Amino acid sequence: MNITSPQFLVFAIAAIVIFHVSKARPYRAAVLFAANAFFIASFIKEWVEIVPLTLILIYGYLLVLYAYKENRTKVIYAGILLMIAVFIYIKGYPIIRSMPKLPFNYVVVGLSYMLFRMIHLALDVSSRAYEEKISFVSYFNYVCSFLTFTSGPIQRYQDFAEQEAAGDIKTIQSADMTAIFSRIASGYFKVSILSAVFLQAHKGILPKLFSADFSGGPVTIILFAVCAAAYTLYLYFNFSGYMDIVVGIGKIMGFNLPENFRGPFGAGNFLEFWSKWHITLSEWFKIYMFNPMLKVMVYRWGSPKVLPYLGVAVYFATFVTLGAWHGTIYVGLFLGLGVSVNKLYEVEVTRRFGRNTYRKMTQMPVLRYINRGLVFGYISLSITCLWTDIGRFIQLMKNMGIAETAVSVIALSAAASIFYFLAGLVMKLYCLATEKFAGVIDTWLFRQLWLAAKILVVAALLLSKAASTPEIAYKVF
Amino acid sequence: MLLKRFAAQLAVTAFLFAVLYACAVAAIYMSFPFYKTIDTEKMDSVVYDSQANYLVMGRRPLMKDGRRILICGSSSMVQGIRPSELGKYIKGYEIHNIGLNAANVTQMQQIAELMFEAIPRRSHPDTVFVIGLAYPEFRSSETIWGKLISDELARFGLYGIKSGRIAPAAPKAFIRYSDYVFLPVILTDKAIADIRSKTSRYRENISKLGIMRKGKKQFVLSLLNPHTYWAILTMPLEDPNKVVFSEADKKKAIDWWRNLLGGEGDALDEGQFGEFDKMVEYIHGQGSELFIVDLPVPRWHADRSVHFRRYQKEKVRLVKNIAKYDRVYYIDMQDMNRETDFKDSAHPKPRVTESWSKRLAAEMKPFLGGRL
Repeated sequence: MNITSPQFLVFAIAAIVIFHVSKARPYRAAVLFAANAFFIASFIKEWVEIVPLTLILIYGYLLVLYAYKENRTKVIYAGILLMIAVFIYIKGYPIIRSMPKLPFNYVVVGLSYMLFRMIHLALDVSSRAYEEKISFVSYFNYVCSFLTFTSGPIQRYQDFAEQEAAGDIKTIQSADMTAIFSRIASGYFKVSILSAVFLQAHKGILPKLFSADFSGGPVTIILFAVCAAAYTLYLYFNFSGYMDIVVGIGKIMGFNLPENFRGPFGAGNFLEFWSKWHITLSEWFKIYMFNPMLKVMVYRWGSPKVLPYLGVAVYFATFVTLGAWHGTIYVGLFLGLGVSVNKLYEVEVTRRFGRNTYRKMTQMPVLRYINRGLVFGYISLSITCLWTDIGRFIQLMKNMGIAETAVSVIALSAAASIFYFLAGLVMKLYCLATEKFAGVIDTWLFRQLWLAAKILVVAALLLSKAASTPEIAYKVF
Repeated sequence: MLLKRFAAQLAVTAFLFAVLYACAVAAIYMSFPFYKTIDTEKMDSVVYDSQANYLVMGRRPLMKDGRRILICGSSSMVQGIRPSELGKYIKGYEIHNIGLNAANVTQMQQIAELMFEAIPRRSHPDTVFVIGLAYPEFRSSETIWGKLISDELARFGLYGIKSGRIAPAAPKAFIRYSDYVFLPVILTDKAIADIRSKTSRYRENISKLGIMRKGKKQFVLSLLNPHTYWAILTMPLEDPNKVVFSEADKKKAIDWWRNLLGGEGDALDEGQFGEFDKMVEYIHGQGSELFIVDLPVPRWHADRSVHFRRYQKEKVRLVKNIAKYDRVYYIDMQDMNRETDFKDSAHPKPRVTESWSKRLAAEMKPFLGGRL
């Protein structure tokens, strides 16, 4: 079931209504269990397709139970490594392409996010960061929640358990149902309209980019920049729209799912970008990879002089792994390089001129716009290997040449900087207007009409011939 | 508590959505001209994004009694016979152009079924169908490149196809008002189609200006010159009356038709000739008058086309077949094939269309009998 399909909307409304019929915890757990099972079942045509996912799920639970009973870290790590190996095999990552495949079709949707949650549970239970015994129903509802199954967010079990126990007591007081509905409508608009438009633009340019007519030269520079930017924006609107939908529905059900985006294109550097883009994944990698690796390296080579440079190296390794999770090591190399150079620059400037000077530099308005543009340009370049394989990417680079690729990225960055500047001005005007008309905008009727108008636009666009809602992009990772 | 809030919000949103939807329908209805007659050549001024959409959703002008002439066919008929011009020579009839660019016989049959579904039964005998024929209309449905009637039929679940005929799939009362109900979606389609068509025109203009083919320095200079953008946005379309079709253009056009329809062996679709016979029988069965107009193609086209020769051969049987029906007439206009009267391989120049209407009216009048 696609999150943006009308079927999902009907399913979600039914789940919300049945869930809220009673506040009894076992009842709600049972409803969630049934809803999650139903949601996963919607991805399969034959029961055999669900077998690998079920086995991994049961294995994960046994590992968590073992971690709860026995505090043998090495066994847990070995268990996790085995789970990752099985995951790599089942997902069919390029490194194991030569191995024979399972002789039947099976579901891989949601596996990545299940894995992140299972590793987190096993490690936290093992380290006694979570000390309660976890029931299978609670484990299943956490790992396979229909709200987070396909593409996250990666919620911590501790938060999930707390919200599950609290029911909707917390959210009843704070929830503004109109705002939640409005956010869900915005989510549909982002996924079904904006991301579709950018994907179509990207796909429209792609063949021209590889066409012999435009081999090299200024036209290719522009085409590459627009094609890469369109893909980045498609990815953003697709994923952040998905988040708006699931966070909104989660809130109505009484769950506060963690956010994955916090204005990523407003980031002034790559490190900041990753604290604003796919936040729960970045956090996961920070907690379960970056921190332990840094700890080990500090323990091994723990001189204060080399400490900042160890950070640079660990950043590189972490982001290469994060990139590899996206299905291609090349994305990881670009991301790792960007983040490491960024960190190195920060370390060097801080070392030579002091932290205050570095902070002042990053806060200079002109530099901030330029930096934002550079982040957008480099991120767009980094994820090129998500939309073209490495062979074609090399061919493209050969056609364009290193200099022209650099010009393309700089041109894109410059365009993004100008856009950010203009967007800043528009936002100021918007704020002034909303302040002036606050008396109207803040009324109940205006907010309700605004919501209905938003839904009207989304409905008309979705029913139009041009509508071609793309799949949730992060579903395949 | 939360469930109550949820239900209340759902109800308020649904109610306001319905109110806004009704307002949108009213606003669109008031902003767009809804003409008394259908003319699929005037796509710029109607709310419909394609002729097929217009023919399925815009049939309200036919839902009343009256004497009317329906001009049907493919693009030659759409562009060649203008209702306003034909109206100068034939009085007392509402004239509609219900042609569909790139239509074949199957599509014309579907159009006829749609029209008769909208026209009150008692007015069928007062309806005059004028169907323009040219050989491209006998090609198979697989080679159609325009918008298909069948796509539009299935669009809102209003119609289906049963035993090869269009059949309502929704209650008739709903179908009758569906043109109002779906106006916001129809307008959205139109807006998107307009954006696409403008984008495609600007792309063509960029190509005409040759910006992409210039050297690096000139390309950058072009980008920095505001006149470039002005030229892209405002480049006028070529006056179709001034088009001169060169020998190279003719060769290209013949090759294009040959690529589309196939060579000597598989030229034109056998099934379409059978469909034509059925269509004549169907329209005659409704009690309407039917005029079959044999349309011209430029002389050079007729001389060089294997498909045209095949059509000429098959036509003998078609004409013989229609002679058995009363109120079904054949009009031959193939002699109006002067090369300079055509803007391309099939369509007349705008300056010629009046003479086509005049000739058609003159040929029709004796058969329209005491109705005038």
